[in-house]
Amino acid sequence: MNQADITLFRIAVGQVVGRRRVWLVGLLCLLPVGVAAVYLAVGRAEPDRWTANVLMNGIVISAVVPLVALLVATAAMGSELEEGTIVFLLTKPVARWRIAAAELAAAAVVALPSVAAAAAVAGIIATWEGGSRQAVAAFLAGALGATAAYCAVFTALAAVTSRALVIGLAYVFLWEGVVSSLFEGAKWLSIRRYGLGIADALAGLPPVRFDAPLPAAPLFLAAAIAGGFAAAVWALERFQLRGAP
Amino acid sequence: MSAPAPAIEARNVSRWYGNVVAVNGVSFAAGSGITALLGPNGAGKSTLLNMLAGLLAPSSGEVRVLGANPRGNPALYRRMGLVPERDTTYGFLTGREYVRASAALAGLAQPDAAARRAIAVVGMEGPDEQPIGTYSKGMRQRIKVAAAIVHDPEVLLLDEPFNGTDPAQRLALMDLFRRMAADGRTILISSHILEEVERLAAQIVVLYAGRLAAVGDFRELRRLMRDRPHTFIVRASDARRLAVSLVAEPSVRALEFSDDRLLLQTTDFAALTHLLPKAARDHGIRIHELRPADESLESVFAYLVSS
Repeated sequence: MNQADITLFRIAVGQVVGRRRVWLVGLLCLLPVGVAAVYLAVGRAEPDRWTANVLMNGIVISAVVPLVALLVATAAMGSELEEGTIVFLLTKPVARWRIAAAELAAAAVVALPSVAAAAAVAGIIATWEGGSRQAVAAFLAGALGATAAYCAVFTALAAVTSRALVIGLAYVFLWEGVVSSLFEGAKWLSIRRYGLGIADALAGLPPVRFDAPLPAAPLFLAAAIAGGFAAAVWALERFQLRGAP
Repeated sequence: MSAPAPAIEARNVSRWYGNVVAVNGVSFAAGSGITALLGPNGAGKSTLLNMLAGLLAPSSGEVRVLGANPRGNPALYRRMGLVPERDTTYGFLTGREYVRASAALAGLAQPDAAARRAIAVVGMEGPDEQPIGTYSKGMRQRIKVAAAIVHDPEVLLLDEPFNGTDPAQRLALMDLFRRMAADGRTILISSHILEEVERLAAQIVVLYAGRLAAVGDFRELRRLMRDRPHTFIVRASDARRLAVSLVAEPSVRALEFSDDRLLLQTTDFAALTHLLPKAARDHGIRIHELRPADESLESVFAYLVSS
């Protein structure tokens, strides 16, 4: 990491944390913690099944993870393109992959700890009076893997289009939420399913409590991260100023 | 021995967006010194400058900067600086952090010292400790210039660099560009204000509606502008009689009535300034209004294209 990399990273982090949407990230992360606290107070039936299916799958991996990644990735790369500051970076003698890496690292450095804290605290609360902590750790691993992949894909999306937020939401709620639940084959193009596949492999829960197997899920996650990063570099290398004369 | 290649060169370059042609078959070359890229808004100046900066690919033709294609050539930015028209600053950084970032990204060994020097050159010591978000437009322009020159580039591309600056700041920036040009740098400044670049550039490239309208020495352009036909609107107590008294004058090229106004076209502006008051006095006609009808920049540029 040289001086230029540190500079790029600091600018990219500034783009993310200096915005109001960082509060939205905080609120999203509080959501599973609040729900887990309510569950602990009023429910407590079948903690493993509830924690796996409702808390981790239904809230953390299906909503919190993609939304947090979408917000921070579009704040980093998206803001550079939307506000035109990318011109400052692109007219410097710096390889485009370094710029893409800094934007992705900035998104990940905000999203990963946020998701980790939300998933870990919510999982511990939900299993406070019984339940598998191994399963909580497994979902934490799945959530973190999915967060990294979403960050890469949404960073690429923000580099390609100014409508990254809308397209990202459509991907999360229409493709992953609706299409992949209707058509089994769609799971192969679903980051959520990759994350759940990792959790399923590590949780040690019987299928009757949680069942979302996906062979080679880590490889798919790695491919999503590499593909997203490569697409972001490709978009920056072909960047052209938008607009009319 | 062959002449050295020009630092900036456009060869029959065009750029279009769908059906809209922004730049159409433009060729010119610029070497060390200051060259002005002049034209009204929408003439294609920024498009041409962005192609030279490597931020836009030409639809046809080619551009060269320091002998190389600037597109997809990050290494070239070690020798080139750009001040874009659009604000490319980060509001959360201080002026100093911004210029320092530019120095660090340029790979300078001592970015802090380089940033301090560049900030002093544009006279931003003091405000450089404040976030750019609190700056006026003129201050942002100056900090953008500091960031563009921090690595001492051989070629400097400036897109409307005086926008938002006050007269004192403008003079200071002009002084800076003159010094850099005297040092052998190649500076290309785009502007839509003729008087602004007239004081600065010896060489001029005029764009109008995406086409090259004129290229060469500024004095030649001035001569063309001085000798072009001028049209005036005259409102007088007896416009018809005034027209009769002027119609035989060789410097009067055309006369036209419109309501109570007389539209008068002359090929000799200096002669008219003597002729008109004399005709009015000799015939006892009172002139209520005399104003140019075609002094907009667009009409000047349109004339240059047609000539």
